[in-house]
Amino acid sequence: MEFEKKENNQKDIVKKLELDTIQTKEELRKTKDELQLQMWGLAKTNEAIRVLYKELEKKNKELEKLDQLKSDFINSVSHELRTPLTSIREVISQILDGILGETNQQQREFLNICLADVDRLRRIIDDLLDISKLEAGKLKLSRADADIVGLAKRVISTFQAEFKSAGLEIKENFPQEKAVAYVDQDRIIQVFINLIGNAFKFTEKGYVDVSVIDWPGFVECSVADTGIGIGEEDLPKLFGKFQQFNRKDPGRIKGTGLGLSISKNIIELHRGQIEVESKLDKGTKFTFTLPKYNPQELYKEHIIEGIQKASSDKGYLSVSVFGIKNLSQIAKNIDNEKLHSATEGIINVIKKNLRFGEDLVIKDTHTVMIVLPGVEKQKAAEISQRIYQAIKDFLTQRKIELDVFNEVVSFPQDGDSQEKICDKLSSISGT
Amino acid sequence: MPKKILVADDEEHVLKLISARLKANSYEIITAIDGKEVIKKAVEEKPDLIILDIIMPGIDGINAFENLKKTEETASIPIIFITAFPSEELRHKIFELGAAGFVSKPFEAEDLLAKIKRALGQP
Repeated sequence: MEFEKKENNQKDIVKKLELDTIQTKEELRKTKDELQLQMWGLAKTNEAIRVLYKELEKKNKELEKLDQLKSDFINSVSHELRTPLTSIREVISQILDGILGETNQQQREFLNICLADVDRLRRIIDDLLDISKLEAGKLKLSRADADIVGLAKRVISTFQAEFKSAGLEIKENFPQEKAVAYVDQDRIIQVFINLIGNAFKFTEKGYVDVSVIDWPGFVECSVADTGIGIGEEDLPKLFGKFQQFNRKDPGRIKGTGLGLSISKNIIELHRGQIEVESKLDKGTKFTFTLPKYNPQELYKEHIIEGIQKASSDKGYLSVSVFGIKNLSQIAKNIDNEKLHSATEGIINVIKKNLRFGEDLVIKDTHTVMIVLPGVEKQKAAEISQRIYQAIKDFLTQRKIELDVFNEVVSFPQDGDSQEKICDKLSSISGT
Repeated sequence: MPKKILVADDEEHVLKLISARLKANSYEIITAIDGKEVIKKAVEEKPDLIILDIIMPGIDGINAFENLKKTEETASIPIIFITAFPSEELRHKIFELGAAGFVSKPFEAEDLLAKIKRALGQP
């Protein structure tokens, strides 16, 4: 009895186990089916992603092509517009200059109107070209240390006559010393011309005040006028394209409506800021800042930028370093001023012997680095040798007893990463 | 003796007008309408200065410049470029090549004349 009960119990367990096994098998089969389904789904998704990626790549290429087409279009339009303008301008100016015979006063007056408008058209073409380059990120700055006070003075001197004949005063608020920032001179001159030109256009009486302040880390410039001012509702639109407000005197030089937009772009490309304050009938003040860079940041920034570009186009970058040999020894025997003027001289020689557009980067007071993007080691060595000889000639000519060393570090030959190149460069010294 | 200037431009209007301007300033003028003619006339006429347009059919201005600088008889003739296509890259290239000057179109006559005088070493 007892035995039978046990046997039945065991049978029940076996049966239950069998049932469980069947159930588990069934569940496993289901899971397997599900997994297969999911795998199939994943494969499909993968394929879809691949297709999408291909499409994106294609679209990207198309966009790049379109962008190039747009630039080419603007370039060729500007070329095609400039050529007939050249003839028109030259005919008018030859008549005005009397090359083609006598003219009466009214003829001359009207021809001068033509000439002014031809020049305005030329400015519009130049501005359009600038703005299209700026928007496409294709405007490259060619930066070097420059005295901002000097640049402002140069621009002011070109406006002096116009201001005088309009009975306006230009006030200058400049520091005694130079205010040096690392800028593209021509572009900053362009900004000053735009701002001072605007101030002149919108000021009937009073003055225009141009000031430069040298702060630690940046140079601040402002152009303030006592002109008609800008209404509060117009201020936010001020830096937009083709914005022109409150133009009163139709006789004065007309703008293109692009000047402020270009100026803002240029300042921001220098990593500066531009701001405006204005009150109707009181005047307007534009203030912009230009950051200084310390030489260490500067040379790192340049080299990193250059190497990034070189590694993406499988290209080269070389840095040529010039410095004074055994500087610590020499510094004891030569006075500071003499040493300073010698380094200035050496820098000038280097600048004169460089191709246009290359960036000269000064690492510290006695080492000069020239960054040569796209130049491989061999070529960089040739360029350096030429400069080295020119420096030697300069030192002999001036009877300066200094010895100069030169070393070339190239990517990728001397190091295949930014860090390696920077390490190599910082280990160079003349001792 | 007036200085002899060779002016090259594929735009006849521009060529005619630059010639008139320079004649009015007592220069002797020869003209060329493309790069091939510039090279020929430079060798034959040995001008004191060449004003060279950049975009021309066939041999363009840059190409003509390089050829003239490579040729012994014409290597020392100063060349001023003139172009309606003043891109920064082009400007850099021109400085690299070692041209005597650069004028962009539309030009101002005073600017062109001043650069000619400088290139010719005239006061």
